[in-house]
Amino acid sequence: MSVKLFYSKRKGIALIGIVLVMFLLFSILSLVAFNAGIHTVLIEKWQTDHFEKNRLTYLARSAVNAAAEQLIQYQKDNAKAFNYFSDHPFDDRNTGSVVINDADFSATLELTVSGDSVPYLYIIGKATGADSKSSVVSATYDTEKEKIVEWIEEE
Amino acid sequence: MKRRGVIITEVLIAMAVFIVGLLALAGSMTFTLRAVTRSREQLIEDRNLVNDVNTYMIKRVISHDVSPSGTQVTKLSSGQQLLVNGKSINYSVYRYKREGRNPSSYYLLQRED
Repeated sequence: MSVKLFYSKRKGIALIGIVLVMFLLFSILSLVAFNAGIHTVLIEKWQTDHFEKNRLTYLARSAVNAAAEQLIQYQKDNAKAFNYFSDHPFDDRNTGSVVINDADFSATLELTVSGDSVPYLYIIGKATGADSKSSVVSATYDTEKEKIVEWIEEE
Repeated sequence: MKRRGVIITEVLIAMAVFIVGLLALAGSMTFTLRAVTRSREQLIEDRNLVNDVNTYMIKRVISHDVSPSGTQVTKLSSGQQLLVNGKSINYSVYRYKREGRNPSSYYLLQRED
């Protein structure tokens, strides 16, 4: 008994068939590999974009907390009185700044304490990185409760 | 004229091309997979570092008496002063750092008595 294959009279059809199947397989596998790669790139891009901003935010946040601790200590030392600003206790705005330098990080930190409405003081920390990116964190300090009652972070 | 073995030759050549392509693709996928795995590990380590920083910040805001600690913490400077309205805030600078191929670090300022 002789078996006649359907392609015995169509030379090259097997080659075309295999090439087509291979092409399909390669396309699917390439798509999977490309998809995984592109997702990794996107995640790393997001991380890189936000990393510097995050670092600055943490620095500003810690500085605002340091200022709040100073205000708490001031009130403790002065029997809860509040005359941190000598001339106009709640109508003043003062800024101090420091520069932080390390191997892969450099930032300027501006800390502002201002009082606009009794009994609150506003503490604003602005950290600016070497590439001019900046992050601003502010907090409302209640001089009666002697603590921060609200944190606000720039989006 | 009959050309015996033509089809098998064609199939063998096609399969050889296919295998070469498949090996190249497998290499590329292995590379991608390694990159993804490395990226994932790094992401987790970064998250852990950020968690440590956040934990410290929360404790500090609540109790005012904790300091950064752990193997990844370095005190960069201390006894510095920040002047606001002529009044000084004594502070230290701490660094949380994750070592590795792409190290990352966070900096914190802490008031000192």
